[in-house]
Amino acid sequence: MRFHPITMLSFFSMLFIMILIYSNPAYIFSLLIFLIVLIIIVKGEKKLKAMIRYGIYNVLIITAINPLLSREGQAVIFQSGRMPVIGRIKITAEALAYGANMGLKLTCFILIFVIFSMMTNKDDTFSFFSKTVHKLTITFSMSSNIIHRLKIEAIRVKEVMEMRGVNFSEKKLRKRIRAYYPLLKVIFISALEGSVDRAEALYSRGYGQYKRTSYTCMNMSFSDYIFQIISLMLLVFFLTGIVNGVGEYQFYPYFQKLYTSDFIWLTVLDFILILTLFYVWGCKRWKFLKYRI
Amino acid sequence: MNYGVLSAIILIISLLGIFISYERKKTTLKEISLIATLSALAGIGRVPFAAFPNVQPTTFLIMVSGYVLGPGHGFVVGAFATLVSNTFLGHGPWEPWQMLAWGLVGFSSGFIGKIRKTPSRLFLSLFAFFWGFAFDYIMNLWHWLFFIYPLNLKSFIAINAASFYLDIMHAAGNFIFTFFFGKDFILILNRFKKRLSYTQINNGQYVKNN
Repeated sequence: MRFHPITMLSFFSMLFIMILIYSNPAYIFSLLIFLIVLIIIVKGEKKLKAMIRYGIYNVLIITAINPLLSREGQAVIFQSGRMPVIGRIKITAEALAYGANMGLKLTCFILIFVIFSMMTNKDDTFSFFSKTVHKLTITFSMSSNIIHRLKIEAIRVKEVMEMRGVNFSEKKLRKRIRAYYPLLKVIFISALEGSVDRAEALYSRGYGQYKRTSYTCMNMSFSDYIFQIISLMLLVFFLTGIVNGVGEYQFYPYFQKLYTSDFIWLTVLDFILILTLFYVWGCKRWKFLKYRI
Repeated sequence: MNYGVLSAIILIISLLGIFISYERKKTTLKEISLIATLSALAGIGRVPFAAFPNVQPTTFLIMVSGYVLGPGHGFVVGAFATLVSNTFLGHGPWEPWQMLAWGLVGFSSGFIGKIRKTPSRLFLSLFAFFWGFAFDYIMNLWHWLFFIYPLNLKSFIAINAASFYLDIMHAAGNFIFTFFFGKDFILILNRFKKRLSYTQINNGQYVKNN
């Protein structure tokens, strides 16, 4: 799946802002389900499994920490006796729910980063941004490229040093550090030497001397325009919702009631999200959309 | 008032400002290449040490880069090292805060480099030790603003106290890396910095080239 970087950036930025602003667990849960289904549609089950495991861990950690730090809330689940330094531990249902909601928010944020990388092509994103912010993109692409070279260099230097009799698997930590020290120094010097060579190679090819030339032009396709309309729908929903206090929820001092209007707004949001899922699914399945991406 | 959202907005705008100024600044190709290399070294340094909780040479390498290249380039190296390392370890909403924290490591080291030309090994190591804690406190601030309620001094102290063992591991790691490698790495990098520019004698006039 190859959508235009701007299309994806605007859509996922919109989702990111919504998750950042909303505090209502029903809205956060809807967005979480949407992200999970979207990852499944674009065949990212493997990544999803790892991320869900990490997400559950986050939810548990934040849910556990929050009640220990917060004594707010009225539905007391557990209250300990007075303890030295930390005082009395009071665990409330509100603090637990607040922590769990925050954990879900964090999971949503992580999933947004995952799905964004799956729905965009890295090269497309690089070449798109290199037209406007070429120094930043070249710095980042050089950094990513050097890592691969560093790995090869490290293996090569290690082999040479082993042939000269250096033992990297010494049992004593001090001796092992002594063996690794020159290796790190050599890699550091060699990486810096490489940086000068790379700069000279780029200069000799004319980089940075004149205005950059571009051989490919990335245009928005029909599918991108439809996605932009969906992003626009989300933006309108978000802005009108913010004016009407949609997505807000108070956990403290006691759980706020949920009103019918909350569910009406939620239904509208879910409709837009289901429409998006249906569209992405269609882009993978229907020929008339598939070949227009 | 949602302080978490407010802080995120301020932080993202500030980082955008810094990146725009880097983009507009007259930077030579050799400088860009050196920044990219140092960012890659610092960023990748996190990966082999991922098994050790909070011990990594990233902070040390950013500190050395900032010390030699100056505050501006130091900040950029810190910010890019975050991007590079998170490509392997996972991107997330914590990234702008990491960029800020590591950027500040490079920035402050740049100032130290301007003030003290020949610092002692112990001074540099203590500076690195300080940043071990300061970096983690900035990251704790992110956690506190986003996930904790109520936001008061008590909860702030509690969240920093909870991460004490991880903070001390980071600080001790920084101290050891700087104590054993700091001086040598600064000398090497200084030599390369000098290689980035040369002075040409042109009709009796000195012309500085990059």
